[in-house]
Amino acid sequence: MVEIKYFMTYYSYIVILFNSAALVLNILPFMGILIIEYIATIFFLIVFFKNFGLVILNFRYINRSDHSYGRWTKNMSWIYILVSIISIFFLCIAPLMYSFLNINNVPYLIIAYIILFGIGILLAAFDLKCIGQPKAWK
Amino acid sequence: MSLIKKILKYFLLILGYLILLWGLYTGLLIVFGKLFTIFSTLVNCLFPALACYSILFYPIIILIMTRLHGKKRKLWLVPICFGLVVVSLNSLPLIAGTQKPIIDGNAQFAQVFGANYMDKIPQELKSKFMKTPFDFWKLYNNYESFDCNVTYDIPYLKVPIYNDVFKFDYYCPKHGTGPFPTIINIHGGGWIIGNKGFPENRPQASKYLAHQGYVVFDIQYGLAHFPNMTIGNTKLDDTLGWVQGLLGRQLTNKSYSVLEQIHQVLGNFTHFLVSNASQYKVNLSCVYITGNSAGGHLTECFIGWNNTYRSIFPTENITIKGLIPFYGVSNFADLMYMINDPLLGLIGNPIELMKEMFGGDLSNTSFNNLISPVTMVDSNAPPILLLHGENDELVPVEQSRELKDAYDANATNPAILIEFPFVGHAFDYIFNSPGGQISLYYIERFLAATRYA
Repeated sequence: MVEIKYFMTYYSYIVILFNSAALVLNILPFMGILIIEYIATIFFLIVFFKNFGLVILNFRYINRSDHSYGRWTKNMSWIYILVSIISIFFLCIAPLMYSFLNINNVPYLIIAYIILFGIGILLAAFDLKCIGQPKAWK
Repeated sequence: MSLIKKILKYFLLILGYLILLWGLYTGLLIVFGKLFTIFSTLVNCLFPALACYSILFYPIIILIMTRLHGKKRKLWLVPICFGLVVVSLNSLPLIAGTQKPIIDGNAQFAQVFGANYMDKIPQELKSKFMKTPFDFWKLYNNYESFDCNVTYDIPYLKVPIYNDVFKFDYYCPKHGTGPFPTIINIHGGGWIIGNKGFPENRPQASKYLAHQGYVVFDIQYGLAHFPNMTIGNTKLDDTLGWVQGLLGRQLTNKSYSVLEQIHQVLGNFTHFLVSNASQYKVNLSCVYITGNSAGGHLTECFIGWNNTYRSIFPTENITIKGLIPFYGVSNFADLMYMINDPLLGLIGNPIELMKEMFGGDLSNTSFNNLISPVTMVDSNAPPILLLHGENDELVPVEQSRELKDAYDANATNPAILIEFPFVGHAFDYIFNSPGGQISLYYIERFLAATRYA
C-alpha cells in the first residue's frame, strides 16, 4: 500500500504537470503559434491516455466508502469519463460544423480543452488529497 | 446492489456492446468497402473520416465496460479484445490510409512535373501552401479562416418559359487587382440533388483557394427530377424536394437531363464567364474546373471541349489549364449494371427512369459516348488530377483508372490518379479529414505546377 501511495503521488504530480502543459500547448496554436502543433498533438494523446491510467488506478485502489475523500475521488473519475465522452463527441462534431456550416470553432475548442484538461488536473488534485487519508485506500 | 443500479448496469453493458458492434461494422466496412447494401454505401461516404476519432472514443467505452463487469476479471478480456479489434480497424484510414496517397502522389508529381517542380513555383505562392500533406493536429482542430471576399447568389442563367434561375457564389482574393487564375467548382449529388456553397460544396476549400489567389465560381446547375414517379404512395419529387430543402434549394420547375446539365455548365456558364471576365477579374487563359461525384463527371466532360462539345464551348476565348474531378463517372457503359439495382426497380421502370434522367438511352452506344468522358480523350485533353477513394461503391475507382488509361494512351497532357485506401465516396467532404487535407495538398500543387512547372 505504501508503494502504491508513493506511485500515486508521483503519478498525480505528473498528471497535473502534463495536463497544464497540454492545455497551454493546445491553446497557443489558436493564437498563431503554429510551430508547436506537433508537440501539442503528442501531448494531447499522451495526456488523454495518462489521465485514463489515473482513472484505472483510482478504480483499483481508492475506497468509495471513505465519505470524505475516497468517494469524491471515485465520483470525479466517473465525471472525467463522462466529460471525455462529451469532449470527444464535440471534437468529432467540430469538423462537421467547420466544413459544412463555416462555424468558427475556436471558442468551443478552447472550452473543450479547458474542461478536458481542467478535470484531469482536478482528478489528480483529489488523488493528492487522498494520500494523507488512510481510510481513502482499499 | 439495488435493483435500479442493476438495471442501469446491464443497460450500460448492453449499450456498450452495441457501440462496439457498431464499431466492428464500420471497421469491417472500412476494410472491405461494402457490407449490407445501400445503407453501407451511405455510411461509407462520411464515416471513414469520422472513424479517425475512434482511437479516442472506443478506449473510453472499453474502460467503462471493464468497470461494469466488476470483479469478474476474466470477463474484462471480452470488451478489451473486442475493443482493440474495433480500434485497430477504425484507425486504418488514419494510420495506414494516409501513407499510400502521399507516397503515390509525390512519385507521380515528380514524374510528371519533374523532381524539382516546386523550385519553379514563385515563393509568394509557395509560402501559402500546406507544409505537409497531413497534419494530425489540424484533424482535431478545425478553426482556420481564410482571407477572401465572398459574394453569394449571383445569377448567371435564367431559363425562359420555366422561370428557373441558376446562381453562383463568387470567391475572390482580398488583395490584388487581377485578372486571377480561375476555378469553376461544380457540386455533386447524383445529378438529382445538391447545391452550391453551404452546406454541401466544400466552401472551406473554395475559401482556401481564393486565399491563394484564385477566383472561385461555385455554381448551381439544373437537376433532374421525376414528376411522374412514385415510391409506394410517395411522389419521388416530394422526397427530392425535401432533400433539396435541407441543402437550401428548391426543386426547379423543369427537370434537366444530364445532357442539359452538361450544356449548362460547359456552354452557358463558360459563355457567361467570357462575357463578364473583367467584372469578375477572370483570367480566361488560365481556367481550372473541379467538382465531386456528379460534379466530377461534369468536370470530366470538359475533356470534350475541342471535340464532342466544341460547338457549345467558347473554344477561342477560354484556355483550360487543368481539371480536378473527384470520384466522377467516366464511362457509363461500365455502370449499366445499375439498371438492375432493386432500388431503381421500386421506383419504376429503370430504363425509362435512366432515359428521363440522362436525356437519352444509355444502352445506345452513340448516346453513351456523348456523355462518357473516357470517349472524349484526345491529344487536346487538358491536364487532369483524378482523386478517388478505393472503397467507393457509388462510383467504383475503376472509373478513374479507365480515364487515366485513356489519357496515357491518347493524350499529350498528363493524368495523375491518386487513390485513397480505406475510404469511399465523399472522402474529402470534411475539410481537415485525412482525405480532405491530402487532396487539397495535391490540388494546390497541381494548380501551381500546371502554371509554372
